[in-house]
Amino acid sequence: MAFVSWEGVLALIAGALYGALFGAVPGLTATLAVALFIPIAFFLDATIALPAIIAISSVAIYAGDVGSAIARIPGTPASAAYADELHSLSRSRGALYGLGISALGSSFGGILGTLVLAGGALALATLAAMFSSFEYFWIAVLGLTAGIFASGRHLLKGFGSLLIGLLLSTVGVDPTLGYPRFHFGNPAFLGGLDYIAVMIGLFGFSEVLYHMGAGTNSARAADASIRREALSNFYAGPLKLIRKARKLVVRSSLLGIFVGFLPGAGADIGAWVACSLEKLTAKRQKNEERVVLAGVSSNNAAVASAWIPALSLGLPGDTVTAMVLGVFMMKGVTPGPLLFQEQMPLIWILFGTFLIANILLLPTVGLLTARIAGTALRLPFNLLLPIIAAACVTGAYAINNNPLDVGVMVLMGVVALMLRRGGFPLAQVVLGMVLGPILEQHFMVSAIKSNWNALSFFERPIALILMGACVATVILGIIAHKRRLTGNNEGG
Amino acid sequence: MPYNSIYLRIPGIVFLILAAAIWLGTRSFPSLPEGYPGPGLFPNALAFLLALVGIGLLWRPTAEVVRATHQLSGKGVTRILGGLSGALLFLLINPLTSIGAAAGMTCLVCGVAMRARIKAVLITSAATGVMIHLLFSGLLAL
Amino acid sequence: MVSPRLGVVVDRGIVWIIGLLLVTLCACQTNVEQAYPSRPLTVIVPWKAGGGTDTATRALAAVLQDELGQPVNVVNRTGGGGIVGHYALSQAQPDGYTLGAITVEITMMHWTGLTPLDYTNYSPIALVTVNPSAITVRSDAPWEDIHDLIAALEADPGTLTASGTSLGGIWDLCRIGFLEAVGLDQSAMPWVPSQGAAPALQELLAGGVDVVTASLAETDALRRAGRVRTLALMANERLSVAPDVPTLKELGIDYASEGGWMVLAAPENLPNARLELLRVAVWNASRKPEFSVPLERAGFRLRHLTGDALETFLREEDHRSGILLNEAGLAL
Repeated sequence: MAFVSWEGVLALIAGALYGALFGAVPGLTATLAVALFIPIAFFLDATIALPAIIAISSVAIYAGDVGSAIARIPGTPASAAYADELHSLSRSRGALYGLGISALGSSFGGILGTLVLAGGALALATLAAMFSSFEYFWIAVLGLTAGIFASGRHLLKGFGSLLIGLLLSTVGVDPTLGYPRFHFGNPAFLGGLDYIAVMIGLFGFSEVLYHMGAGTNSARAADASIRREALSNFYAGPLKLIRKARKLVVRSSLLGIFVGFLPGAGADIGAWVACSLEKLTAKRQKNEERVVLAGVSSNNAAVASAWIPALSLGLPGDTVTAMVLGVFMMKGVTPGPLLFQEQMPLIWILFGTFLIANILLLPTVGLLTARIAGTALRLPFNLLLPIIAAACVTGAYAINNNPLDVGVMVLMGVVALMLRRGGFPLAQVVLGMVLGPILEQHFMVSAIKSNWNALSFFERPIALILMGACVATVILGIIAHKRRLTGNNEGG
Repeated sequence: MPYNSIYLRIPGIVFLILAAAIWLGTRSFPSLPEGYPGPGLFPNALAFLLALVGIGLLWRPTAEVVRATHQLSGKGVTRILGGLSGALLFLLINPLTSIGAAAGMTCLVCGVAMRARIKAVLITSAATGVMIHLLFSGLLAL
Repeated sequence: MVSPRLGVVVDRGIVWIIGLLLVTLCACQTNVEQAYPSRPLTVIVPWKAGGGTDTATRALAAVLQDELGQPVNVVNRTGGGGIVGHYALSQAQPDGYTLGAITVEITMMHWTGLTPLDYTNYSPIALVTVNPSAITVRSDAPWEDIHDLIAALEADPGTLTASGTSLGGIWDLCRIGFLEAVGLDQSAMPWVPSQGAAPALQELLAGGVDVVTASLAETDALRRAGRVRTLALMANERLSVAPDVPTLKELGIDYASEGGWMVLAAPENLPNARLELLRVAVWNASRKPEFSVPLERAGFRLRHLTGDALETFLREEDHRSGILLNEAGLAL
């Protein structure tokens, strides 16, 4: 069987390490890691190239959380949903514990996602093909609603942050006419602000500035009591949590799968809805672990389900699967229903690699990265923060090799400092920035298509269901918010 | 801090100013053929919502302000300015040399701004610079 | 308490900084005049990683580095409908170490006033790929061939919609050119803007639009999967990857377009000796089967033009884009 070839195993391990490196460094992303690998993939056999891509993307998405754990720099917009919780968890209970939840939660989400990919790819693909711009519009609204109600005590401030994010997304040429908006005469702004640069500034660089302002000195970043962390922090502790919260893991993974298979920004919306649902329904106040678990499992479940439209329709779900389709075409492999009949060995290799990546690679490579993160957190603050500052500028520069992105990153660091001072949440800014273009573009396309007939937004059955989900989120959110406020008042 | 202090109303005022600025900035935007709204529609809708949030924040300002930023001293501001100049120094140095040297300089300036022990900062900066040089110049050829 | 220590700190700091800078300056060798190319080359791609231009450029870079004997690195400078990357290339040093892919949009953006840049701001090296537009419909669409579609457009103008890219993008221009060639007004099949071929195809499958005019390379996966049918190709000859798809000319419609092409270029005023060397290297590289076979299989058409022929090609494309954008009402 070709499946256990040495080259295949080597490709998996090399891909996992390479993915871990790219995921953990701010500014380097899973997309970039795969893009750099593509020219090599041209010369490789499909049965080696595709497993390597799967290993790279699965591990890179997890490793994006390493930045959150050390310095509150989320690797993807999806991980911004739980960056605060993961960061405070890693500082109070150790990076091994925080990243253990992340790695093992990702692993379980990924396994569930793979099972759905293997079992129902063709059926789900038919569903995905029914999504037109009206449905996408409502999905974006659902993501924004979930974002508002995930913002904690002050919904109005959460909404304000979201609006700032949406506003940032309008910089650059507009999606309908190609008209340049808010570019301040600088051609480099026509492309819009890069959301990764904004994210690095909002979270990472603002953290550096915040501690500079507060005069934090040579104290250590992590709790002093965490000297040398036991291995059980990484495996046993998180596993116990997952066993206790298995319902949560399944629910979040399913959310990740069912929003993630939509071509477009599925993965991000899935993680946000999962985190927000957990925050709203939690009975206890201290539920950081459960929020992180909800986010990571839905995030990695979406990595697998993004392959559904790519494999069964030939439609790329995200940039990684777009590149995978390119590899398919060059190897003469045709995606679509026929793939599942004619190329069964390849399909089995894909599913097998997903399982191996999630069962074996995430827990082992995850431990390696968590160890490094733990060491970094034991550095004194006034040495760790300069390193983070250097990583922030380099990361922002590396995204597009654009000096302007560094300027944007620094500016966002200052803006974030002011937002934090005013008690505004930061993650909502990122959500607004990611969903803004989706919302506007699908609204405009729908309106142009239907000749500005507002009723057309309520005519299609799936659109109506999604609208119902938005209304339900608002009602559930307001009830939970009231309950939380009264609960707090009674408590003190 | 008094509940109705002007200080707490700053966010609301900023939001209203932002909304007005967007409205002014989008007035020259073209519309779609047949007079339908075009590129200006979405920013204007945002401006409307920003204004609503601004009014809401003015009407009922919330007292919750992150504690640690309360005592932002003059020294703190100086340190922050040091950090900012460290980051902007990267842009000055990067075109001249390797990306690793530029990042190392950022690290150095930020470390000095945070008043860490100079030897430790130098070692950290050099190590960071070399790591970044290897990673980015080697792998990405920046 | 700070000042005396700070003085020592600053003194020592300066010594160390100078040392650090010297070491790194030595590490990245200074530019002594050497035979070209003596250090790695960079190729700027104005579109995002994973797209058609990116795929073709990375494939070319992989074979070009064997020809030149130096690494050729591809970087993506994306955004603004390609403006950002095109602008970055035009601003680079014309020393032959920074090259870039310029695409059909460079003949379009100056007409709409987005940028003053046009093809004369570059030293073109060679045409690499052309991506002809394909008229694509859902597989359950009622039209058997292109004449059925034209009949439907004539019978009920304005009810069928098309998509593929933004308003005034290359596939929109192909739509206008096609409609004009069959004697229809461009309002007979209005354009629904989209952020590229993939979202447009999603709309096509979901029944949101009726026709997609994106390139065959972009629609080929769905075509082979049996989800869409390609009625015709807007090219002069058939593509080897889809030998059963007829061209418009074979169907009696006099219209063909180069579609989305990609030219490897350097900033303006590249020294002639280096331009010649690069021309030869690209010609040799693009003939290699490890470059041509996978790209052709993926639906690209390789076409090699250089020198005066390339100048003429660019001038004609620029002229055509101007006419079509004028008809679309988008030119200044």
